[in-house]
Amino acid sequence: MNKKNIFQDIRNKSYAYAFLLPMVIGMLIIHFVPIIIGIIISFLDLNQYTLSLYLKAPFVGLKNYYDVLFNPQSTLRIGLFQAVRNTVIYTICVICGCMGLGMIVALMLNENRSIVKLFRTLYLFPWIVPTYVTGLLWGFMWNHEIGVVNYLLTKVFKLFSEPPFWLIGPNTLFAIIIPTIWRYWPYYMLMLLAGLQTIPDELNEAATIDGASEWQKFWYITLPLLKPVWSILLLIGIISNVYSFNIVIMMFGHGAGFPGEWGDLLMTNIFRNSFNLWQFSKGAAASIILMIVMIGVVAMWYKIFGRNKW
Amino acid sequence: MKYKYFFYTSLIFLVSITSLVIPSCKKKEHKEISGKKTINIWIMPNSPRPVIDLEEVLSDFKKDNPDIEIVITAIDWGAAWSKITVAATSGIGPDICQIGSTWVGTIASMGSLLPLNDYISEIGGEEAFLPAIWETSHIEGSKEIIAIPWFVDVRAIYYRTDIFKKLGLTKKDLDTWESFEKTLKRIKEAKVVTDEKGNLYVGKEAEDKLKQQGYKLIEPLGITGKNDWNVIHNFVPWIWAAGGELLSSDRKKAVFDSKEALQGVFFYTGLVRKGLVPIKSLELNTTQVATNFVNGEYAMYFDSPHMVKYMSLPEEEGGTGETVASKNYDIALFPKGPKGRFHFMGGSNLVIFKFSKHPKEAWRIVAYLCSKKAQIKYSQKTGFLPSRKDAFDDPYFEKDPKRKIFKEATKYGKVYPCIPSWGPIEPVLTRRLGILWDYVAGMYGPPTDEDIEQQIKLAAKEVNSVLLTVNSSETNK
Repeated sequence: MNKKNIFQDIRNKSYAYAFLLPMVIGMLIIHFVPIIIGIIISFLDLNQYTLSLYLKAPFVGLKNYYDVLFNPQSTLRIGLFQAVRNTVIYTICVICGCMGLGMIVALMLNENRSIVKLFRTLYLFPWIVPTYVTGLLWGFMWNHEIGVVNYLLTKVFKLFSEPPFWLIGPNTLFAIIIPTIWRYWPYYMLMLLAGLQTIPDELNEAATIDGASEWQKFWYITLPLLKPVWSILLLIGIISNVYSFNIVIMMFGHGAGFPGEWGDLLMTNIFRNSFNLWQFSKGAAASIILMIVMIGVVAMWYKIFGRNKW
Repeated sequence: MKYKYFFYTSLIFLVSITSLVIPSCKKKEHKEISGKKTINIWIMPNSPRPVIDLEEVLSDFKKDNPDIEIVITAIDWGAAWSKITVAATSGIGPDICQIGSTWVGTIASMGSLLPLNDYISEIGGEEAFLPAIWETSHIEGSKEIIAIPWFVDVRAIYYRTDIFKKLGLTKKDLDTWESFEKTLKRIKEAKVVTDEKGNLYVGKEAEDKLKQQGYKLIEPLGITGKNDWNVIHNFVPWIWAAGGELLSSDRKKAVFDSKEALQGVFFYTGLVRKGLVPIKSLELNTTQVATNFVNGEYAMYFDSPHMVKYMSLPEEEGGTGETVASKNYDIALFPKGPKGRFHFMGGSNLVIFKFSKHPKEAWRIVAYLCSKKAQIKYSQKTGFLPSRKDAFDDPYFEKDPKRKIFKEATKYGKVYPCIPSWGPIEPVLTRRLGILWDYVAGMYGPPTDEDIEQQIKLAAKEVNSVLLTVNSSETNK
């Protein structure tokens, strides 16, 4: 579309553009202005002494970026490896968990019986609970002694003779992955279910006549036709889990120390360094680096799943 | 027609945006009532009813000073750090603010606190306050007094007198590190078992009872691990008692990885490694450990004086006065280490911001709150200790044998260095020592001295990096 066409288009569809305008202005205020300020801060030395100067803090060039990536003396760098490792494991596990569980339940609920409709509503409950409540509640549930998880594992199912520790040591990572899956799988289920209902019955019927097994029907009909849904869920999942913060901070950060080596995600690391250690510029630099990496990930997603590839 | 639509849509958009923007622009300051000067105070939840309790303490002041209108706001400890620092840097905030004694150095370095040197003689000056806590009234090395100590918090040992009596132990058995450890071992080996009524059984009898329902084993000591804000406060008395320090005397380097400091760390963590502390207690925070002590899970634990009040109140008033532990406990000082006895001393200070429009009136309130009468009254409400020496002469502290021990503990009180970099150091140390507890709890296999030393060295490395960053920022300031 050339320049002339754009203006003509705006004139022709002014009503639609008028409705878009608030969102565009809102996006500018809420997203782009903070991003630009964040980029500026990442080149300054904004700390407890210079905070009152704000954007007039001394300019230090790329020093913050160097500190985040290479300087072994920087506190952000010291915890970076663990934070990246945990975030990668966390994101993969949460997406696989949510997608798997969501798909299984969506397939089970893809019927029009009234009891199924009731379950459809009931399964949405975890998703209604705010993430900070999820974090707090699971914090209690993981408790070694009085937590319901260990009670179930040792007393009811008798899977362990000794109750495991969840909130200390490497198990911490599971202690944050499982509540996140619990919180988000209904959303995945809902989206996949909506997708499943758009698949015409005729396809499955034809496959049945041709003698296809249930597994073959799922693999060759359901999964490819659901691609627009699960590919979008994959994108949303990557973005929301890499930027995950609430559950960890509510489980560990609120009146109960800090997440240890296996509970620290990128966001909690950046938050701690920015707001507890007063290294706003290093926090901003780390956020910008993360943003660039995420833009790369999204670009890759477009390359693989982009509009014309469905 | 299209333009008409455009006009109406724009109008709706404008109205909705203005309705969002206008309330946020409205200043939140309270209106000045004619002739009265309004003083805003921010406090933390120091008691169950923070605002009402402070208003009651200030009731006499209000009668004598009708020209001052006091507005008290309670802010949560979790949000306090960011709210106060935003106020300090933005110039929008209260006139008077409570700040944690360990935060003074950092917040003072932001340059927004009013120097109070000209006023302090009115409240008796430095001599009137406990010497240790007075160190938090100013940045180390500076003569500018900017934060007046308001109340003090020291930790001591809470122990079960009935268990001690049963095993023939006394308070003296907690006097030194050696005797403390020996006492814990004695309780561990005796296998003290209790029933719901609080009857105690030891030895063979206890072993038989333990097989029946309704009986439980009492562990010698309950301490918190990583999931607690007090991680450093719990570690540091042992480091000090072993002759170690946290930072070098020029405050440029972390020295808690020295041989002496490590001795303290080994002793404290050794209590867990020797099985004298149940590993499951390491997952809890101070409140949960306190609840367990009250419910008869441990023979000993460490806590602040506010529990004395809590354990004396009946259940209807929110206390636990009826439990067996609440009726059979006493307080003891921390055991003496190779280089003496130390108690971590914390608490809160009162500051006046430079941007206050009525600094003189604000000072009158601070002076009143730091007077002997108000300090005793507030201590009775919160359970914390006064910061003034003369307040301890009151029968409330003198006649109560338990509070008297806390008074004694203040003599051994020691505070963290009051320096600008302490604010960022505290979260680093809290987290690093928390990770150390993971190792001590055996999450990575049986813990060795090398593991612990390595974790302490990592903590020192991170603290050094904070010191380097903050100090270089300070020189560039």
